[in-house]
Order: sequence, then structure tokens, then C-alpha cells
Amino acid sequence: MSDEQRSMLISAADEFFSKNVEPANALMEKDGISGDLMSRIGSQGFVGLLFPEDIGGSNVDAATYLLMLEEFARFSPSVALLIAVQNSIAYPLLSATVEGKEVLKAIAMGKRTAGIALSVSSMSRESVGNLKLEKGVLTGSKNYILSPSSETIIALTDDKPAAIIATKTGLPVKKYHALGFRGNGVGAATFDNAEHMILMRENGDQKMRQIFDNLDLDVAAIALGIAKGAMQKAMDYSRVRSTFGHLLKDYSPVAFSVSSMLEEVSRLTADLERTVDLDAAARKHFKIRAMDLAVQASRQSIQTHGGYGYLQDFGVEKFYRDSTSLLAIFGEGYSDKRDLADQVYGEKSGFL
Amino acid sequence: MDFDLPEDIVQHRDKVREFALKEFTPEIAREHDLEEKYPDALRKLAFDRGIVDFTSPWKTLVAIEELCRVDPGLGISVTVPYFGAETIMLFGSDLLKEKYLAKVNAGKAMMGLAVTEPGGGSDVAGIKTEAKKVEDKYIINGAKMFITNGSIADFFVMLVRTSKPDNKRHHGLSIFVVDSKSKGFSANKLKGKLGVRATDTAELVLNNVEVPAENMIGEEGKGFYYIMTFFNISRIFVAAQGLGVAQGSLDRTLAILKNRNEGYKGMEEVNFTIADMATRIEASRLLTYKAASFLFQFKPKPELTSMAKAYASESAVFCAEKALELTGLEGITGDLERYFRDAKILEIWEGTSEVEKLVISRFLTKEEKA
Repeated sequence: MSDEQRSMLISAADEFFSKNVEPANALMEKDGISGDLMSRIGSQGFVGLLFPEDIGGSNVDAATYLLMLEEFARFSPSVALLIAVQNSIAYPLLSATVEGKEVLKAIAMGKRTAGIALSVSSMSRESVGNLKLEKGVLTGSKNYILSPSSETIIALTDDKPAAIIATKTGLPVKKYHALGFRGNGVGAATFDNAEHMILMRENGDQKMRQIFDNLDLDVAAIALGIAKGAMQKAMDYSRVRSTFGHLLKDYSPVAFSVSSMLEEVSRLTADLERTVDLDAAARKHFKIRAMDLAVQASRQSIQTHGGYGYLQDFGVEKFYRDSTSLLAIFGEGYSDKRDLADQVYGEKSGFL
Repeated sequence: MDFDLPEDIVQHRDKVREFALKEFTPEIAREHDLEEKYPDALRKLAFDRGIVDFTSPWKTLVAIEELCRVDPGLGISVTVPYFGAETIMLFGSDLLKEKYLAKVNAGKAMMGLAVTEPGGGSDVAGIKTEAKKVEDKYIINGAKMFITNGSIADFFVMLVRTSKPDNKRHHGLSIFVVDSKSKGFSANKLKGKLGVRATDTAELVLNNVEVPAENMIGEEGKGFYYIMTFFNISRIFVAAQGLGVAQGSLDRTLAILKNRNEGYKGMEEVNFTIADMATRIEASRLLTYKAASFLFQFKPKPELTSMAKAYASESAVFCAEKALELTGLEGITGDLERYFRDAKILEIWEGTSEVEKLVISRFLTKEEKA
């Protein structure tokens, strides 16, 4: 894709999200991302970004995809994460079968979504779930499902051999009051006798690990979008808000922190285009930097807004919740840092 | 030098902790947080049980710390009905003490402090709400923003402008007791706060509200000094809130990690983070108690109080963030996430961290000049 085409696509996303997604944020935080909104996003070709055209996708290149995710997250981290799950988890797993491709077609149109059961390495297996696949029948539950109200839930079984399955319909869900990504939601569900397709019969744990490693840049792009969205709001506010007879932007602590963070976001965004060519260690490091920056920037944005930043109406507090949730979900404990140490040392390291 | 608290304060701390662990159940905490509902039944219970004892500032300090440790939203809610009382205690007439403060002290009324205005936070001297004297009363017009207890308090201590400023902007300000049932007074509850959602916060609108002249606290034109004196006291209690949030974050993190039977709980990086959290908490506690010790002996050191407020608040945010980083999914879907949302306001209310740093640096440079 040429630079011009890419920039037109990002402009179109900017226009669509500012008009259609940002105004829906308050409701989305309360009730989740609506089916209607997903249909409208799908109709713009923004859902199946990496899907091939024969299943309704936009078939953009990896760098464009990441820049689009960043742009989406600037307005709605929840929508960006949902789209990332469709492209980087659902697509590689479902595209291998005819039945799966039919699901992907509906996903690309925004007519259905796929949620993912999270298996986090720093928690015990029991606390993540006890899903079993025996003689083609599912039993048990998963305790942490991202976008649990989706019509398709992708999950790794907790027995051996570890399989990966996708349900054909949605499941009854117990939702948590989660800190962030409330548009997606996090919940637990029982899979007993759920209709499903088997995406991998064995070695599912290795495949899932690979899929989540490949998600690193998606997470980094979303983190950068959060940082950019939060800092842009801080900059806009500091230009109009006065205190002690001067605009906030005229005070050195405000101006220095906002400008240095925005500059860092810009530099990382520029790097985002070439991250697809980086090795695993560099990608992991990039993700860690982006996630840290997102938390730092969103915290600073609330501080710049003062009491107003603490209110939902100003659209800043959700960035703080989402950035910290991103870190909690995708960088749990110190798994990212340990992975980075393994890759840099070239052997198991940093585990004590 | 003795770092132990007196025995009666230690006993009070134990009593408060027992109360909080029993009464601040996760269900009650979640309900009030989700529904943004003030816990009036808990306020009454805490009062009846002697949990909140404003006759002893040390007891108040450790009570705030222990209550916020178990749940910050509920903890702040039950200790805030007296917010602003020191202004009447220190500068108010006997009539005001009898008419208003006695009811608050008896647990029969709630009060609030109304200083901040829409579009003006840290800049206290820049307030625009005006009070004009007409015969034996004042007529107040204006608006106040982010007022704690705003839609539930029976009365407010309110900072208003009674005359145009001369060469100094903070001149010409006065404080009044304003009854919330006055004609022309209205309160709009603010919903959708990030945290401390059990506390009540509102915007107040005053449209020709009549206040008897006798409701002025202290002397006309000295309101700014009275409010600054109040903040130099109240900030120590915000530091105690910060201590509670930080300690509670650490308590819950350790409980979650203890229950994990595999993973990173023994990894040194995790242990180092826990050590950092504990160290910041202990440093905050020492700073807070030192500043409180000067303050409660009527030898206030505002720079020390500001250091305690800023550092304890920042430590609360640090510990709450680290707690979620360490506990991951369990943290963001359980009771710990409330600490994270509640912590951030401590760096903002009753003087942002930036304002505290200004106070500290001004005292330091003043001493240098002297």
C-alpha cells in the first residue's frame, strides 16, 4: 500500500471514529459495544482489516493495520482491542476451515464477533479454567473471557492434549465489573455441551502462545493510541484552561510533560511502521515501552485536567483504566519482561 | 525518639480495623461503588460505635487510615460528614458552633466545604461567587463545583467574594455558613466519577441565596486565610487516606499472590516491587505522622504537611498501579481495582500535587531569604 493510500485510509478512520464511535463511548462503557455500531464499523471495512478480500476483508498490509489500530484506540481502546482479537486471533485460527471462513465473513461485516478465553501464565491453571474436550464433548468453564458476549468464543482446553475450540453460538456469561475495556467486558462462562468446532486437536497451548506473541504489536499499537488520545486531550485542555491568570500550557511542569510525552508517542508511532520487520525481542521491548507510556500519559492527562479529568464526561479517565488493564491483561506479572530476557539472553533467564 | 503511638491510639486503631473488616463487606463496597450511593447507614453506625472521634485528631487520623485500607470509598464517606468543621471550630462564633457544629458533632447533621468553582480549581483567590450585604443579611450568587457531600449536606462552609480585590487577589474573600435548604440554593449530583463513587459530589448553584450576617465565620475579608489554615489541617487527613489506599493495595496484592500455587509469586522482581510498595508506605507513614505531630501540637509546619499529602497520595497511586500490574486479571476484575480508581483523586483534591510542591518550595525559599 502506498503512503498516500495508507494516509487516506487513516484519515477515513479518523473521520468515521470521531463521528460515530467517540460519541458512543459513554454508552459503550456502560452496556458494551453494540451490534449496531459493529455493523457500521464493519460496513466501512474496518473490522476484517487483515482478512483476504474473498471473505469480505480489506486485506491491508501489516504496517497499515497497526496504524489503523492505533487510530481506533485514540477514540475507543475497546473497539480497537475487539478488532485486534478478530484479526490476530480469530482470523489465523478460523481461516483454516470452511466453517470457520463463514464465521469470518460475518465478522468482517460486523455481524458477529469472536471473544477469547484468556490463559495467563502467572495464574494457576485452576484459576484460569477447567475446560475439557472428551470424545467431542465440551465440559467445564473458563474464568476470564475477553468479549464474553460474543457469538463465538475461542478457547484453549485445560486438559491434555490441549485443543483449541471455537463455539458456534454465544454462551451464558457471568460478567465481572472489570476496571477497563468495559466495551468488551470480561466474564466467565460454562461450556458444557456447547456446540463447537475444533480448530486444533493438540499442541493448542503452543499455538495459543504463538498467537499471543504475535499480538504484541497489536497491543503496542493500542497502547500508543491510548497515549496519543490521552495526551491530545491534555494538550487541548491546557490550551484553553487558565489558572492564576495564565493558561495551563504556560506552566513548565504541564508543558514539559505533555510535550515530551507527545513527542515520545510520535517517535514510537513512526517506529510502528517498521516494527513488523523487527525480531521478537525488539517487538517485545516495543510493546513494553508502549504500554508503560500509555499508563504514564493517561495518568498525566487526568492530572492536567484536574477534577474534570476524574469525570467520565471528559473522556480521559477511561484511558487510564484501559491502559492499566492492557498492562494487566497482556503484560501480566512480568511475563513480557521475562520473555524479553529469554530472547535477549537466548536461553531461559530472569525466572528467579 | 519514640516511634510508637500511645496505647489509647493503638487500641482505637484496632477497634476501627475490626469495625471496617466486619462492616465494609465486599458486597456493600461494590454496591455503593456501582450505584454511586452514599452509605448513610454506615455513617450512622460508625458514629454510634465511636469509630469517628473528632475530639482526638490522632484517633481521627488512624481511623481514616484503617477505614480506607479496607475500602477507600466507604472509608472516606463515613469520615467526611465533618468536612470543613475546623473553620467553625477555630474561627466561628459561639452562635455558629451551637447552631450548626453541635448537630454535626452529635451525628445529626452533615456539612461540606464549598470553595472550588467551575473553571477554577487550584486558584482559590480567583473565585467569582459573590456575597453582597443588604441590611442585616448577605445575598449570594454564583456556583461551586466538585463539592463533597454537595447533594446531601445540611449546610456548607462557603468561600465567597465580599469585596473587590485591592492589589492582592486573595483580599476581599469571606466565609459563611450557608444552609442547603435556603431558597435559591440547588445541588446537582455529579455522576460518572472514576472512583470514590460512594462519596457524594455535586455542583452547587446559588441564585440570590439569603444568608444572615451572623453566619459569617470570623472577620470579613479574611476568608482566604481561614481556608488556607483549614487546608493545612485537612491535608494531613488526605495523607492518611493515601496511607490507607496504599496499605490496602499491598494487603490485597499479598493475599492474591499467596493464593497462587504457581507462577511468579517467588520471582525476585515481584518481591522487589512488593518491597518498593512497602517502603513507600512506611516512608509516607513516617512523614505523615511527623507532620501530624507538629500540627496536633499547634505547631504546624505547612511545608511538612504538604510533603506528607503529596507523597502519600503519589504512593497510593504507585501502590495501586503496581498492585494491578502484579495481580493481572484477578486484580482488574476483583475488589483491588477500586483502590486503583479511588487513589487518583488524592493527587487532585485539597490541593493538587503541583500545588503542594509550590507550597513546599515557597516555604523553602522563604526560609532561605530569611
